[in-house]
Amino acid sequence: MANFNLYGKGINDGWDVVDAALLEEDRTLEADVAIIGTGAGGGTTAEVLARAGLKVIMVEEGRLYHDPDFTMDEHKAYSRLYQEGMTRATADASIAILQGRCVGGSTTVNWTSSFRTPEQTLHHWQNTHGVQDCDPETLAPWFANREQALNIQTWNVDPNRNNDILRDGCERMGWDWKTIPRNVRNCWNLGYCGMGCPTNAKQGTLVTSVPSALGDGATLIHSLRVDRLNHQGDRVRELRGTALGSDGVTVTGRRMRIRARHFVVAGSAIGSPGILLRSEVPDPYDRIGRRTFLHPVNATVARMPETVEPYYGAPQSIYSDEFLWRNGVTGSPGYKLEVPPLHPVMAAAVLPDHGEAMVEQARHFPQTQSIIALLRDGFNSDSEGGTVTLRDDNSPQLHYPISDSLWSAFRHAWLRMAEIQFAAGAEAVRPVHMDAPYWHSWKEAEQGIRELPLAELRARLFTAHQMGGCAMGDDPARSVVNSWGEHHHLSNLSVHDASIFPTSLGANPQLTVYALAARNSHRLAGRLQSNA
Amino acid sequence: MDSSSPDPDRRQFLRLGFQGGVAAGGALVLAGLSGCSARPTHDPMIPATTADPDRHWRFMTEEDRVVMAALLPAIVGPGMPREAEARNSALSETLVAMDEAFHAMGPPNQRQFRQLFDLLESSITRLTLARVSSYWPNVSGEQAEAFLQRWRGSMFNIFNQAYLGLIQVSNAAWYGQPAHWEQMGYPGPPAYTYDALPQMQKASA
Repeated sequence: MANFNLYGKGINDGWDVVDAALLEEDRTLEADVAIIGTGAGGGTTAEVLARAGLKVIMVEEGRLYHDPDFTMDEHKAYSRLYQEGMTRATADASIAILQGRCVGGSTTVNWTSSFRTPEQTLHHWQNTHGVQDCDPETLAPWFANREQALNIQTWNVDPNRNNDILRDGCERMGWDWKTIPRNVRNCWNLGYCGMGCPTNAKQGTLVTSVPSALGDGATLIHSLRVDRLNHQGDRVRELRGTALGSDGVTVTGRRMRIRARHFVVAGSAIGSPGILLRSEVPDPYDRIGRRTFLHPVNATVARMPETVEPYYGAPQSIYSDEFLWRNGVTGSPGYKLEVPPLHPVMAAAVLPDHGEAMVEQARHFPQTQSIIALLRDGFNSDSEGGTVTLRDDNSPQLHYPISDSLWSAFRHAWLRMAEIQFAAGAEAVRPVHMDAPYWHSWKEAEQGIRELPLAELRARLFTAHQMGGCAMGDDPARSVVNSWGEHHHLSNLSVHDASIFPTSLGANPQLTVYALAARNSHRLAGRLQSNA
Repeated sequence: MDSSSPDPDRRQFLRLGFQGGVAAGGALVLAGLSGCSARPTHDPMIPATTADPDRHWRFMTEEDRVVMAALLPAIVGPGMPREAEARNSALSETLVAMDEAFHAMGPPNQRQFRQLFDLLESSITRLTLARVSSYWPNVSGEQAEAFLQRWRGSMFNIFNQAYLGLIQVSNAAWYGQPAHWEQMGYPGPPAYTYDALPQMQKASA
């Protein structure tokens, strides 16, 4: 039986949870460590440091929502749990950005896929980006540590039909497919992971690390946006934050200051560079916000003869790495194939149509299947990623030009995805592209896809994985933090999230973030305890 | 792309608006001389549903609601009820859902949508950029559809972006309502969860 109302019980038992929206006056707090962000990086860091006996304050810009709020309602979930009410996009609007903004960060809304970092990626980081101690053997115990803590196991229930079609198609083509490891415990196989797990089965930081830290005496402040870190000499002195109202948007006028011995930034690949840029931390080589990666995603949708019900069942259970390393590690980008869940709002917002064309697709919604390709950006020479800058109002924004090699990989991926869907019996297939109709045979689709314009906004593109922007490495001229997430210039500042990746991964990032944060936090705990 | 600019979209929009106005020749000058305000003058026959004075609208102005009331029937298409009362009530609920979505987007996105609505509402840019010849309350279904198709098919990214912005918010607001789930054949969350999950018992109560 699920353990319902985890936070209600915890707060009754004395957990120190502060809703900054309710502050009636400005406050100043002190701690050993202030951690910004409660996602895979910040949550894990809080767990480790609080367990080590340090006084920890977690700061979260999003609000605390938990199982009593998770009613499988798309409107509520998207407006409360996602960045910019699920309308975040790159600066030219060509790539829609799905990213969490709530206690637990993206781990509260992700689809639970949990992969170790591919070995090729770790070797590439070591050989090309000067990252120390990141070989697969060194990291193996940390992956194992988190796999055990978060119950990460290969999904042993039958995949839903949406995922099964990827398996069938790959099987018929003679291509690789495998079953996805998921971070769930007693999962009900409902299919609503993206709206907040209603049964607390998903082992995101919302139900694991953050409660663990709270149980060890940590403080959680939510609805508090970090404006800047004030620093002097080589040390950060204090954090300054602005309270947001219960709508998550409106500024209440109340402010907080937090003084600490150490500060950990874990606000994501867009948020963390944003905080460091606003804080004007030393950046002599202009590295902050550079080389931000997205695993840019394109998609096809298929109309199947059978009922697919893409809204029910574990959203991601099958993947294919057949094309992930197709041109070698540094050749033109390869991609991972996965399946997205589809619910009415998600589908209606993704399909670039209206009127009759939209109604026709809505009519076939229960028979709709979709495949996505996640491009491995940042490995080849023309894939330099994007740049985070600040808007006039100091909010972060990502500029991400799509390079020629990415466009070419998108076309390759549309072809292979359509081929898989027809092999699995699709009646019609369409790339999610403004100029693509439904094609009724592989031959038609192959011809049509070869002629599709490769242009921003005509192709509908997405990302659920934001990485880089505060790269790690031993050379300060090429990175923001060292190989353990410690800032090159400020001695009491660390970065513990996906922003430290020097490239994308080629796999869903949560387990890499968990493992690196766990390792780097144990090292940090040692440092802080030895000079207590 | 100039990646150092803080807000290229806005600049692009303004530049395009300016060029569009110039390309329209005398229209801009004439409008200026005749004292035509940037804000439209309203037809007194605004549908009641678009002007609910009792609701606290968070983002959408009366003008915005008039524009969307003209566009939603074309965006929703055959799914929109034909009977007047059902149609007004569906429009009204969809506008409320859109207003909530606009609020949740936060200030940077709101600024972009504000520019878009301003462009649609100013007579000059309505005529020159949207190329919609009637005031919005008088725009027919055919005119709305032709406008949407023009922006969808435009070779200018900025119009594609504006089209996508309009239809995504509209489609999400429409299909997110449980009353419209059946138009997608979506039965909702599994029936047994309404009994098995405490929060669902509360939500359905």
